[in-house]
Amino acid sequence: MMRYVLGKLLLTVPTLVILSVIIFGLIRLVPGDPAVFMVGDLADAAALDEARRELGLDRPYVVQYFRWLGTVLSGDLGRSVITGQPVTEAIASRFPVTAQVVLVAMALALLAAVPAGLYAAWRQNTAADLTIVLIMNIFLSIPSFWMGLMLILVLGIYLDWLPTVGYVSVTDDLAAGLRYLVMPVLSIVFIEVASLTRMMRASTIEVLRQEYVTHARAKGLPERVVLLRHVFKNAFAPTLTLTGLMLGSLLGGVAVIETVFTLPGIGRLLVDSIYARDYGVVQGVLLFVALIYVAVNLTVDLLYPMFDPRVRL
Amino acid sequence: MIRACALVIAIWLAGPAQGWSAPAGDALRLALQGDVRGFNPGVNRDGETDTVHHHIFESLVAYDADLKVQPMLAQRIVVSDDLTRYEFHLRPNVTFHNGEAVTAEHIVWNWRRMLDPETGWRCRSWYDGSANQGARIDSVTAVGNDRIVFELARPSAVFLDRMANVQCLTAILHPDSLRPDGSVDHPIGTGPYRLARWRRGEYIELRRFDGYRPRSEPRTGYAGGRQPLAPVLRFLVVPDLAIAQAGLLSGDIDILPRVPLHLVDQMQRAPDVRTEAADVLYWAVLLIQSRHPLLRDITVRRAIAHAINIEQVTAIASFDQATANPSAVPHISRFHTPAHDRGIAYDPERARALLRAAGYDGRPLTLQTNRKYPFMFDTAVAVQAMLVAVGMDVRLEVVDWATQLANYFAGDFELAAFGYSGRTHPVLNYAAILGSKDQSPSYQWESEAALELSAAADQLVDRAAQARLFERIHELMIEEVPIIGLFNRREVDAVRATVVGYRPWAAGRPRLWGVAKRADARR
Repeated sequence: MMRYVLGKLLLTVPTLVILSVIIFGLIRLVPGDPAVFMVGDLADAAALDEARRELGLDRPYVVQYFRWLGTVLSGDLGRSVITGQPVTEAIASRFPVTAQVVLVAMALALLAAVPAGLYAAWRQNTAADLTIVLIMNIFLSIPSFWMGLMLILVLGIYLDWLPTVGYVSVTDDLAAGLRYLVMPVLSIVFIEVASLTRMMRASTIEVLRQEYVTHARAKGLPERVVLLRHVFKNAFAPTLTLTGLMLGSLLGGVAVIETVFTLPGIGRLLVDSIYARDYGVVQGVLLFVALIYVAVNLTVDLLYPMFDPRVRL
Repeated sequence: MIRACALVIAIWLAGPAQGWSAPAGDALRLALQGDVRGFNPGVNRDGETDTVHHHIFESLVAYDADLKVQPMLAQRIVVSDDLTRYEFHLRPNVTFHNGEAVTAEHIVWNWRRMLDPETGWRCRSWYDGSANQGARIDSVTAVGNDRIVFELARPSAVFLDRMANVQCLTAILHPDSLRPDGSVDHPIGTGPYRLARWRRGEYIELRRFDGYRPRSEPRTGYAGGRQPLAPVLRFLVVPDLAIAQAGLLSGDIDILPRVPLHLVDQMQRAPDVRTEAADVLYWAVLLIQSRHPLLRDITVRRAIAHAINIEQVTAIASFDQATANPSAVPHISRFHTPAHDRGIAYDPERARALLRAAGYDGRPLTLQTNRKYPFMFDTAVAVQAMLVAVGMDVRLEVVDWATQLANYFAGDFELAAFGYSGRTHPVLNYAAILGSKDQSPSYQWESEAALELSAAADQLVDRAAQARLFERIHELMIEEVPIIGLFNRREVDAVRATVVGYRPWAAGRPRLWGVAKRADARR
C-alpha cells in the first residue's frame, strides 16, 4: 500500500512538469497581451513597453518559463500580473468557496443517486425504473447555466426565498451562508445526480445478473440484504470511479455555476484571469487544479479495495 | 509546490482573516461587471476601478456636468496669462480619512510621487513632456501651507482638463496609504467615503467618512458638493449581466449601470425599477488600418465612408438611443459646433465608383469585432452589410475583447469596430488617435497638420479660437478618412424605485454621493 502511494506520488512529479510546460505554452498561444490590460486604454507605446518589462514579458519564453518554474519550486505560485496579488493567496481565498459548494453537492448527489440507481436496477423495466431513467435523462439534458437561471428566476425572483447575487461563507455566518449555497448546490446536484444514477443503475444491473446474487437469493436471504450486502459493494465501484472524475473536474472550478451565482470560486478566478490574460494566475491555478485531479484520483484508487475485494494495491 | 499547497490548505483551515458582517439594511448596492484592480490610483486601473476610486479620492479639480473644470480640493485657481503657471489655493478644513489636515506639502508629495517613474503612474507621459501632446511640468512647489504652484515648461491651456480627467485620476492620498514597496492596500483619501472592506471577487464596501466636509455648491458631475447620504456603499462584483438584472429585479441590487440597450424596454416595464439615461462621451468608431496595402489608398477609404450610413448604424447599434457623430469632438461637448456634424455623405453609388476608380478587385477584408460589447458587434454587422452592398468582400472576425485590444495596440487589424472611452476635452480626444504609427501602432491618424493644430489648441485660452482649430481638424479628418466616427453612446442605468438622487452623467461613471435609499426599501 505505502509503495503504491509513494509510486503514485512520484509519478505526479513528471506529470506536473509536463503539465507546467503545456500550461505555460497554451496561455501564451492565446492571442492577447497582459500588459495591455495592466496599462488600460490610456496606454501609449512607452507605457506598454514599460509594463512588459515590469512583467518580464520582454524576455525569451524559455527564460520566462524557467523563472516561473523556479518560483513554483520555491513554494511560490507567482503573482497576478493585473492586481499583484500572490496566486497562493488567491487560491486560498477562492478554493474553499468552490470546495464548499462542490463537496456538499456531490454528497447530496451521491445520497440521491445511489439508492435511486439501485432501486431502478432492482425494478428494471418497471414503471418505477422508467420514471427514474426518464427524470435522470431530463436532468442530464439541462445545461447547468439554464438550470441556474431558472432557479434564480423561481426561488430568487418569483418566490423571493433566496438571494440572487452575492456570497457569504458558512464559516462566517452559517444561516446566511446556507441560504447562498442552496441554489448553486441544487444546480450541481441536478446535473451530477443524473450521471451517477445512470452509472449506479447500469453497474447494479450487471451485478444482479451474477451467479453469486442468484446463489444468495437461493439461500433465502431477504432482498434488502442481497442488495445491500452483496450487490451494492460491487456495483458501487464504477460509480466511485465516476465520482472521483467528477469531483476532480468540479473542484477544478465550476466556472459556469460560479458565474451564474456570483460565487468567488476558483473557476471564476480562472475564467476571469484567462479573459484578462493574467498569465501568473492562469498558470498557478491550472497547476493547482492538476494537483487536485491527482489527489482526488489517488484517493479514489485507495478507496477502491474497500468496495471491490478483487483490487489489491 | 508542496509548500505552496501547504500554505493554501493552512490559510483555508484558518478561515477568512476578516469576519463577515451583514450589510447594513441601508447599504446602497451597485453592480460592477468586474472587480477593482486595487487601490493605487492611476497605477493599476480600469473603468470599474475608477468608479470606486472616485468615491475615495479627490483631486485638486474635477469636471462638472457641463464638462467644465471646477475646483475640488482647491478653493481657487490662478492661471498666468502665458499658461505656464498654475497656482492652487487649497480649500480650508479638508482632512484625510485619518483626520489629518490636507496641506500643500501633501499635494506636492502626491504630484512628485505620480511623476516618479518608479510609481508606474500610467498618465505620467501627460505631464512629463514625453507624450505626443501633453504638458511638461517643470516644478511643483508648496507656498506656505495652502498654496501649490505648478510651473510648466511650455504653455498648456488644457492642463486643468488633464488634471480633472476622469480616467487618469490625479488622486491626492495620504503618505500613510503606501506600503514600503510603494503599493497601496489601505487607501487614505479625502473623498466622501472610505474603504471598509474588499472581498476580492465579491464586493467592495465603502463607509461614509464622517469627517467629510462637502463643498457648498450643488452636486454637478464630479464637482460640487459630494454629500455622502448613504452610510454604506457596496459595489457588488456581478460579471454576468443577466444575473445582475435578476439581482436588480429581486431587490438584491439597487443600481445596475450600463444596461444593454436591448434590455432597456424590459427594464422600463419591470415593477419597482426605473431607468435613468445620459448621453456620454464614449465615441464608437470604425477603425481603418491605413498602412494596409489596400486601405492605404485614400480613395478606398473614402469609398468605405460613402458606403456607410452612420445614422442607420447608430440606430441599429444603439437601439435608436445614441446620437450619430462623425467627429472626435463629442456631441455634448461645448466645442461641438455644427461643423462637426458634417461627415462623408452616405452615397453607395459614389462608393462603387470610387472602388472602381481605385481598381478594387474584390480582395477580402476582415472586420474585427467582439461579443463583449454588443454595440461593437452590432456596429460590425451593420457596417459589413453596407460594405458588401457596394461590392466589397468584407468578413467578420469575432475575437474576444482581450485579443481585440491587443490587436488594436499592435495595429493588427484591417477594419475594426471599436470605441474610445470618454475624453472630456477635444485635445485629449485627438491625442488618443493622432500620431505616427511608428511611434505607437495604436495611433490611427498620421497627420502632421492635424497634430500641429491640436498642439496649437493646447496653447490657446480663447475658447472660440480653440473651437475653430477643432473644426479645421475635423475638416482634415473628413478629407483623409483615417477613421470613421459613428456615434456617441447613450448610457441607461436601471435603478430600484427606492433609490433617490441617482443620476448618470456625461462621463459615464456612476456617482453614489447625493444618493440614498428610501426607508421603505425592501432589503
